[in-house]
This record gives sequence, C-alpha cells and structure tokens, in this order.
Amino acid sequence: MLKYFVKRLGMLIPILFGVSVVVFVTMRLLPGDVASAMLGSSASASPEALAQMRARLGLDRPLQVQYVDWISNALRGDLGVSMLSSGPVTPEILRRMPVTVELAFFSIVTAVLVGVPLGVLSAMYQNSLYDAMTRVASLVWLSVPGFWVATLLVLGASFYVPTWPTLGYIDFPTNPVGNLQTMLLPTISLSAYVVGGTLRMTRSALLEVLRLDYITAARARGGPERVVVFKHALKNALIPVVTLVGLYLGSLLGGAVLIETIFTLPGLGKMLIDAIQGRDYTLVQGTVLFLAASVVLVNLLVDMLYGAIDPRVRYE
Amino acid sequence: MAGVVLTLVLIVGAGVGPIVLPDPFATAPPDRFQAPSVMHWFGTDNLGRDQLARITLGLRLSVVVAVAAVALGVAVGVVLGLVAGYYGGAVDNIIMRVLDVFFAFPGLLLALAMIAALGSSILNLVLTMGVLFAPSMARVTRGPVLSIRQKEFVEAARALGVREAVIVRTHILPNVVAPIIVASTLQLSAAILIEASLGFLGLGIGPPNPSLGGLISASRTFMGQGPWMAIFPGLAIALLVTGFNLVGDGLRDAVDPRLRDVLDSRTAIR
Amino acid sequence: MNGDERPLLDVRGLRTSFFTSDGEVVAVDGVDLQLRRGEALGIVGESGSGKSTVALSLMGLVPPPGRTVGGEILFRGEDLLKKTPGQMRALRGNRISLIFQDPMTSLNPVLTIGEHVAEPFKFHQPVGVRQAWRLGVDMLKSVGIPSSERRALDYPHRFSGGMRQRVIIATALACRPDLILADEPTTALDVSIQAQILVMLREARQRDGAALILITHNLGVVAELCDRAAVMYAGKIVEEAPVDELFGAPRHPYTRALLGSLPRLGRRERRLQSIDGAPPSLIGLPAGCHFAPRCPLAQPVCREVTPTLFAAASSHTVRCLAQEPRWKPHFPSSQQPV
Repeated sequence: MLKYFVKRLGMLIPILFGVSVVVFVTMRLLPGDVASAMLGSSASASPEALAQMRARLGLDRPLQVQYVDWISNALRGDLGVSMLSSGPVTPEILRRMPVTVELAFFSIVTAVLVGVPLGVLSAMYQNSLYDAMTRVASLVWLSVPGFWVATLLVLGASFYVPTWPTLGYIDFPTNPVGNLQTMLLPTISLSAYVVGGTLRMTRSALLEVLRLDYITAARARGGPERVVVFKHALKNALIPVVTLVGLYLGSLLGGAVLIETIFTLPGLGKMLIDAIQGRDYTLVQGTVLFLAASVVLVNLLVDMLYGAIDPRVRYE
Repeated sequence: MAGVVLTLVLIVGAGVGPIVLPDPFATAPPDRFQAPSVMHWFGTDNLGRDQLARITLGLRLSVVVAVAAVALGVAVGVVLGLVAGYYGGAVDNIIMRVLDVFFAFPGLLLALAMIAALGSSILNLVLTMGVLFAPSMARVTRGPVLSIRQKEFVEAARALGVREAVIVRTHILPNVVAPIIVASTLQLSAAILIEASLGFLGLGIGPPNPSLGGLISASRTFMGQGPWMAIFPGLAIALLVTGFNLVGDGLRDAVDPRLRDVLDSRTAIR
Repeated sequence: MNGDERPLLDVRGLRTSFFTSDGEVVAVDGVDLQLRRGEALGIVGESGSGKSTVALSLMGLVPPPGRTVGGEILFRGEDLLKKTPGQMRALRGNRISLIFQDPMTSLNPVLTIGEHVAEPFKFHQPVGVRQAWRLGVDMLKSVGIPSSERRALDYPHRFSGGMRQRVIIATALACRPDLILADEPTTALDVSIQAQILVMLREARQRDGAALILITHNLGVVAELCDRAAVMYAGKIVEEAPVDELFGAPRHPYTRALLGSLPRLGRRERRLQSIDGAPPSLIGLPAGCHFAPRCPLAQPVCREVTPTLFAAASSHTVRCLAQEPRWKPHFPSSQQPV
C-alpha cells in the first residue's frame, strides 16, 4: 500500500509542474499588455512610463526567467501582489478558501448521500415504476445548468420565503444556523448535476456487477439477497462510482465559480470572476494555480481511496 | 427514441426559428415585460424583444458553437489518440502525460482562464472548448487502438506486407468510430453547458447577440418585473442537453454496454 | 449403496426457457434425471446443449430472462420448484452445492478467500463470526491449500487458477452437502491440476457420501469419476446409461459421433472425424428429432415423429427411433446400429 502511495505521489510532481506551465503560458497569451492595462487606458502613458512599468513587473525578462521566478516564489507561498488591491495574493486566497471548500464539501456529501442510495434502490428494483421515475429524474438533474437552478431558486425564494438569506454569507462561528441557511440553496444548485450523475453511475455499475459469476456463486452458497447486494456487489460497484466522484470534484470547483457569483458568496470562485473582469492578472494566475493544484491533490486522495476499496490495486 | 425526437425538434426549431419569427433584435419599448401570451409565446424582455425569437437564435448559436468545438476536439483528439495508441512506448507515454496535465484542470476553469486570456469571440470559444475536449477524445480513441494493435490479425496483416496506413484504416478505425460517436454526443451536451456558463459570466458570445446563458444572466436584474425571462432560456438549455444525453445514452447502449465504464468515467487503464 | 432406495434426486419433465426479444429459447426441454445417494452422474454435451442450465435450474438460480416453466424437481422427496425463496436459500450451499466453471470469475475480487469459505458456515450454521472463520480455514486446509491461516487473509487475485478452484470446492463442500453440482470444474485448468481436482471430488464423495452431477464436455473426466452418464443435445437427454456401457456400446448416433470424434492413442486414424453441421438454434425448433439434420442415419420419419426416451436395455435409455422395434422397419438394415 505504501508503495502505491509513493508511486502516485511521484506522478504528482510532473503533473503539478505541467499545470503550472499551462497556467503561466495561458496568462501570457494576453494580447493586451499588462503594463499598459495597469497604467490605465490613458493614451498619455508615455513609452518611458510603459517601459518603466514593464521593468518593475519584470516583464522585460525572458519568459523562462519569469517562469522560474514565479514558480519559485509560489513554492514558497508567495503568489505575487494583486494589481487591483495591491495586497498580497496568497492571504487573500487563504481567506476565501473556506467558503469554497464548504460549498464543495456539502455538494459532494449531498451527491453521495442522495445519489448512491437512490441508485442502489433503482438497481435492486430494476424496471419498477420507482426505477423509471428515478432514471428520468437523474437525467434531468444531469442536464439542467446549475446556474439556472440557482437563478430560479433565488427567484422562488424571494417570492415565497422573502426572509431567507439567499445572498451573502454568514460564517459558521458567527451563526451556525445562518451559515447553513446561506449554504442550502447554493448546495442544491451545485450538487444537482453531481447527484444525477452519481445516481446513474451507481445504478449501472451495480446492475453490471449483479450479472457477474461471483454474485451467482454467492447466491449459490445460500446468501440472502441483502447480503449479496450489500456485501458482495456494492463494494465492487462503488469502484467506478468513486472514479466519477473524483472527476466531479474538479467540475464542482468550476461550477462553484458561477454559483458563488449568483449567491454572492465570498469564495474563490467569485474572486476569480471579479479578477478576470478587473483584469487583475496576478490574482487570476495565482487563483487558477491554487485551484488546479487543489484538484490534483484531491485526485490523489481519491486514488488512495481506490486502494482502500479495491485490493487488486494495492499490489501494483 | 425520445432523445432523437427531442433533439431534432430543437435543432429544427433553432434552424427555422430565426427565419420565421419576429426579429430578435427589434426593440419595442411599449411592449416591455409582457408575460407569455399568444403574441409572444415566451413573453418579452426589458426592451420589448420577443423572447421566443431570442431563445431560438441563442439555441442556434449554442448548437453551432458546440458542434464546431466538439468537431475540433474530435479532430485533434482522435489523431493524438491514434498516434499514442498505435506507436505506444515512449510516444504514448509522453502524449498521455501531457494529456494528464490537461485532465487535472477542471474544465470550466481552464475555459475561463483561456477565454480571459484570449478574449471572447465565437472563434475563441470554439478553440478553447476544442482544446478542452481533445484530451478525452484522445483517451477514448487510444483504448481501442491499443487493444486492437496487439491482436493477432494485425500481426498477420503486417506479416503479409500490408502498409501501416492501410492497417489503420481497415482494422483499427472501424473499432474506434463507435466509441467516438458516443463520446462526441455526450461531449456535445457538456459543450452546451460550458458555452452557457461562459455566456452567463459574460465571457461568451457578446450582446446584442443572444446567448442562452447571457439571457439568464440578464434576467437576474429584472426578476421582479419579468420572471419568465429567467425560466425559458434555462428550459431551452435543459431540453437541448437532455436531448443530447438521451441520444448519447441510446447510442451507447446500442454500441456496447461494456463501453459504459470507459465513457462515463473516462479513466485511463490503471 | 445404502438401503434407502428412494432416489435422492428425481427430476421429471424439467423445462427451462429463456424469454428473449428474439423469442423463447428452450434451453432445457423435458429432462428426466434420477440420482441415488452417493451416485455420480455425468451430463455430457456440446456448448449450448442446455447442460449448465440444468444445474442452474436445480439450484433455482436461472437468471432472467430465464425461468423454469415446468416439471418437478424432487429432492429428498420435496419439490424444489414449489419452495419459497427462503427455503431454497436454506438448501443452497448447505444440502446442494454448485461448483462453477470459471475459477477466475467465481470469486469476489474484493473479499478475502477466508471470507468466501466462511460464508456457508455463517449462512447455514449457528456459529459466530470467529468460529465460522476457523471452520473455513480448516476447509482450506482440507483441500490442500498450504499455510491456510495466512492465506485466508489474501485476496483471490493472489491465487493461481488451480488454487482458486480448490477454494471454490472448499466453499461447496463446507456444509457437507448431499448433492454436488459441478459445472465444468476442470475445463479452465491445466491437465495436471484437473487430476487433483478430480481426486478431491472423489474423496468428498467417499467421505461424505455425497451424490455428484458432473457437467462437462470432457468425456475422459466422466469416465474417471462417474457411475452413469447422460448425453444432452438441444435441451433433451438423448441417451443415458452406466458409464461402461455408454462408452462401450453407445446406441444414439450423436453419442457414437462424440465418441468417434475422440482421437485415440495407439490407433492410426486417417482423418479426425467431426460431426457435420452445428447445434441448432433453440428458438422455435421444428418437430421431429432435433439431431436429424446432422444424423447419418436419419430417415424421413425422423423429421415427423418426435422420439421419446426408450429403454433399450436395463437402465440404458435412448432417444432414437432407430432403436425402437416399432420404427425399425423404416431404417434400412445396413444402417442399423448394433
């Protein structure tokens, strides 16, 4: 098991490296000039002022040097200085991280707690009315855009429950109930997609497994159906489900961007959008790097989870 | 299947709509915020524009962008997958490592970053999403290529002196086509959602062109006065995506139930 | 043979079909079997003859879209087809066991083999978890798995095919069943391992007096282990006799073709004989003898009259018109079998 972990960790480094390169290169694709953006659009920005600004930002050096500089700072925790607020990027990210983490966490938990059991029931009672209804419902959840659900929820809440704190955020230590209230609608919007997908995957994976020889063998030993499904089949069926949930963690972070904007949650997503619209390149660069790196790390954890579920993997 | 019908209805509607319906750009201030009626099936917006017309135009744009993006992704991805799978070894390794890096990015995030860098235009949208989709297409291609390449009849063909290109064409491609078609259909629904999300954030197709996401975003300001402005564009998106998903599901079941794991989780062979 | 003359297993007119979108596939078409305590019966046939489905039918494990639609399965005097699911479960793995064909797919990859072999005890005997585990480990030892305490903690993928089959046999024999159904227990294994498996099955019979139904297409295994053998074709039994008689003096054309197609050491054959044609599709079979299209002795009457099992000698039944005295005139004397 340890060897598996180390091996996976080893693969992490080149990927993180690659990720940082992609982020760096993407930001440098800017057709506009960072320096002139910072000095404002005033046509009076003289060439000397521009050159001075560029030198200050280190933009006149060769790209490789810029990259090395940036990445070595990043590894030390310094992601530069926000162009708009002139404050350091890293503390800003760390300050807003808990909000996004909470949202993502609730969404994944909802997806698993709702999607998996419903999927199991759907598979066990295949072709029943319940199954048909669930399949339709999950397809719908999978297809609706999260931001639309969010918009409708805000609409609906303002009509029917005007006192509900739809916008803004109350943090946990201050007011636990308020915190959960502000999180409820965003979680529903963000997790709809994931619940649908998890349900479908659980159902189809379980149905596949139930057809296999070793399940019939378990029945041939006289196992009650409950034991066959839960002890024998489910563990195997969860393997592809875990994979899917791992993938979803990534897309959740993307979706969180939209949801946070709609519900005005002060998380990383909203910060990223504001930064993009405000042309705050260092902030964008730092945030994207942070988010991407987080996704990679979380995927590593998901891989570890594999090892716990599927013994064949441990001995690779 | 239902999916095919649904999708066709929507696509035909999108194609025909803008021709038949009133001008989606025509503002008519006196008609602002009209609830859905016989005159305006989906109501009007804050400038009196007919929503049905705008939505159908938006549908058309979404479909065009999605199809173009997926086509690009398939073109690039299939080539990469063929190369990686066929030559194997170091080439395969390098390509897959690079793709792994792209896989590590949450899709929307990468799209955001790229659009932010490149600026929003239809071309950039297509390019960005194409780049986004290429890795999964490559992975879907690589699987069958790897397994077929090792099969004995390929060895036999080579032993008979058949040229590599011909081998690829006759033996490998037919086995790749089916999974790619299924994957593309499912990717189309993802493309619609991404385009809508970007549009919502104002990073997609710009005004005055109606993008479905943009319509929803705009509706937020006028929620009190015209709640229908928020409902219908989203409904359109949901129906279109559902249609594509149903078609993709049907295709997948028809092709091979075993492929389900590959296409759903898009995992590499561990 | 003990004094209890009533058969352990008495199958009458068993019919199992699969209801597919292409039509009803009659996999088991009116099969009769009898087995006494401690007896070993071999069921021989090509793939698709329905022999595996017989085993599944006896266990009540026919997967959908299949269903047993007719007949009686009298096990110790009680009809299994009339039992509730709960009652069947109590029998499975306890009084009747099934050994599967493919050792690579019959074990659950996420459970240790200790857990596998402890299950029959947990399901059927009033023992606690630890006791069940210990009993399981003992079973592993008895099938010859070395260091069984340690290896019980291992997962199936750490075992070779032969070892896995031993584990499966251990789970099947755990509760000392009265009837063992073995579906191609040696097909997926090397010849040397096959021999060991056969030895294990023979020992189980001797030790516990278990009856055995051995399903295989391997005639050599049947000769080794079985007292009697039945030959199946297209869902029906076409011949049944004590093993010596079946091999020495086969009466049904299909049996003779099967035996004739075996290459024999010490005899120079000019060509390997195979049976012309292919087994028929089991959907919508026409009337008459199902083997007629491929039978070298077939006459027009064979396609019109459906043959029934005829007792050609004591405890030797055949399903062939050519064997029955009243149909003999239809068959030219030069073509009559011995």
